[in-house]
Amino acid sequence: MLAHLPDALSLTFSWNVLIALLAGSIVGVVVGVLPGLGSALGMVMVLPITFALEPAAAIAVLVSVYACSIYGGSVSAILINVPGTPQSAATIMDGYPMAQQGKAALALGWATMGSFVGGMTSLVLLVLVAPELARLSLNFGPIEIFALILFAMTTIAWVSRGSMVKGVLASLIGVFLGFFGPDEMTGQLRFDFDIFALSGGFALVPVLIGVFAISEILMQAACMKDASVPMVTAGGFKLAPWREWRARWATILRSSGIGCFIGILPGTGATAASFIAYADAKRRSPRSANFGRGEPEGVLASETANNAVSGGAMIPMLALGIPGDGVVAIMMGALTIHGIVPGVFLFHDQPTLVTSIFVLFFLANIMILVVGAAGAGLYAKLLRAPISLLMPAVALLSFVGAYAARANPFDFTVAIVMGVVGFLLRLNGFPLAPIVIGFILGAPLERALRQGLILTDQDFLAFANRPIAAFLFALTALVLIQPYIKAAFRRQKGGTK
Amino acid sequence: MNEDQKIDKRIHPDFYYGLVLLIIGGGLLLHTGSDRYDFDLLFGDVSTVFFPRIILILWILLSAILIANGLRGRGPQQGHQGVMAVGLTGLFSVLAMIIASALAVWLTGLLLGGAASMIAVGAAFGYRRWVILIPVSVVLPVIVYFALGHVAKISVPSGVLWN
Repeated sequence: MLAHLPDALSLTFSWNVLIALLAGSIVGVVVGVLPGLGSALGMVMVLPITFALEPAAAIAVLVSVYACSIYGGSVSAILINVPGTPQSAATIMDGYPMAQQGKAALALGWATMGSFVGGMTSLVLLVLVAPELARLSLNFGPIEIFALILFAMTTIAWVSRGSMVKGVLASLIGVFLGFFGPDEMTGQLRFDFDIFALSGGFALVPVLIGVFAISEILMQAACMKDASVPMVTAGGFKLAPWREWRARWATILRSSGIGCFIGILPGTGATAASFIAYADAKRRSPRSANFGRGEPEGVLASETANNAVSGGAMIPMLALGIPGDGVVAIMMGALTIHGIVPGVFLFHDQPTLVTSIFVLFFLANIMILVVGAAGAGLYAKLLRAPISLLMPAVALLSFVGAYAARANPFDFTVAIVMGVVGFLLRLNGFPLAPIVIGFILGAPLERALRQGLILTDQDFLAFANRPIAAFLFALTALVLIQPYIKAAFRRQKGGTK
Repeated sequence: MNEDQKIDKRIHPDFYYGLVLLIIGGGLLLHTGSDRYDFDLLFGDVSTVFFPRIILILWILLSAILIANGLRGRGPQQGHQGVMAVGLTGLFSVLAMIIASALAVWLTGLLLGGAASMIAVGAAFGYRRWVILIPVSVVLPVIVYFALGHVAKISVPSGVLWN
């Protein structure tokens, strides 16, 4: 990796890449700060802009939006008691009480530094683990890839919000959406129903825009109460003295570890990481009695963990081509549009590009500090923008994004239909991330299965003869049956009592 | 009888969602049996609709489980609350504006249609400060049009009426 560092640095330190990084960081913080937008919507909104950029600049935009939007969520959590993104929900518990005590600037300082340290720790893990995982996965054939994707999709559906049945159904819907259009092995058209517009299949961008952006607009419309502006506490940025940091170093380390570990697990995500880290810090801290009343350690734990997830989640995406959550799935889709196919061969074929992704991730975390400190005074003003003024802008950018992918007006229809479908599914507790992950992983899953069956002369049971595949199938089965095992244990426990 | 008891007597939305998904999945599975997919391939059984059939069978099975859960009133209660608490007027007016806006952007292009769509969607959301909404709605499409269409050279809707 070090051998490619000079080339990666020259690729990264060009004006257009640095400007892209700065722009992405500002957009990331803004979509994070504004409740109702969030990381996924931010990524979807910038996606069409990346079409015009060279790969390094496009990656800079995507990585910086990802890292900075997670941080941005903490700002509204602290200033208005509403998390800008779900990842910052745990930050409210101590961030807002700090703001009420007149310590909003200090709380933002803790959140900014926590996010920076969490992101940097996860970068170290990304640099150390991803290349090794990629090296290991070079031995994977179609059968192992099939088993791996199956395991990842099952896990994502399992840990998704709501019931497992809904999670798996959502991922099946996503996989099915990928069937429209020509079959990549035979070229035969599938499910076009003699409608010419369907013969090309669905493009990724309109589907993403529909599922994340249009459905969010409809959700906001359905839950609309009034157009009033929230009460905003004055912002600012202030760092705590060094002794305060030294007293909390163990929390920083533990929260970083929790975030990194949870990031690697498919589907768990930053929200879970921040709550787990918060609970862990509360349990172990000598200041646990202050938690919930404005204890900085609560803000620190939550924000360190949720940003530490970002690097962890990129490990399976870059090394195996398995996106761990919806936001990383969008990033993976965007990379694919640029001809960068994350997965087994990326590290082998494009080592300079991979190294430049690491460098850009490092710079994106630096940007959290820069944008976080420099823009702190503006956040309070930004938060006064009503959602009823933001949603028309989101709608406009959605139309532009849907059209930009293929210059095909049919994609307007796709985005709106997918938006309505996404809205209806969200309404009844279906998670959206598995739809997108299913859409992206459906084609490689089908390819791997069909190639595997050709290799084994149509004998599916022969798949289990491969040790890695057999291990992954066993894990998948365990994930699927574990709710029933748990229920049986619970019944037995109840019976014994 | 209070409101909670009334709600509990209703069938859980999971039932209806499961039923709709079952019908869609069943219809698509039937479609895979049509003549157009019925020819010999180089790959034998690993045909064009081989994998879609697996997915659709799983889809149907899970839809049936969802129906059963709905009949037993299982699952998170957010199903009830989410579906019941929707403000239909706001939703349909915004949806209508989104569809009309997409049409306007396609027909008249980003500059004209985009401005109209922002005003329409903003109004549907209940925003009434016209002195802010109208200038923002005019300026943003212009910025997007020139930034994406001219600087970044990305395809932006230019309006089929003018082409």
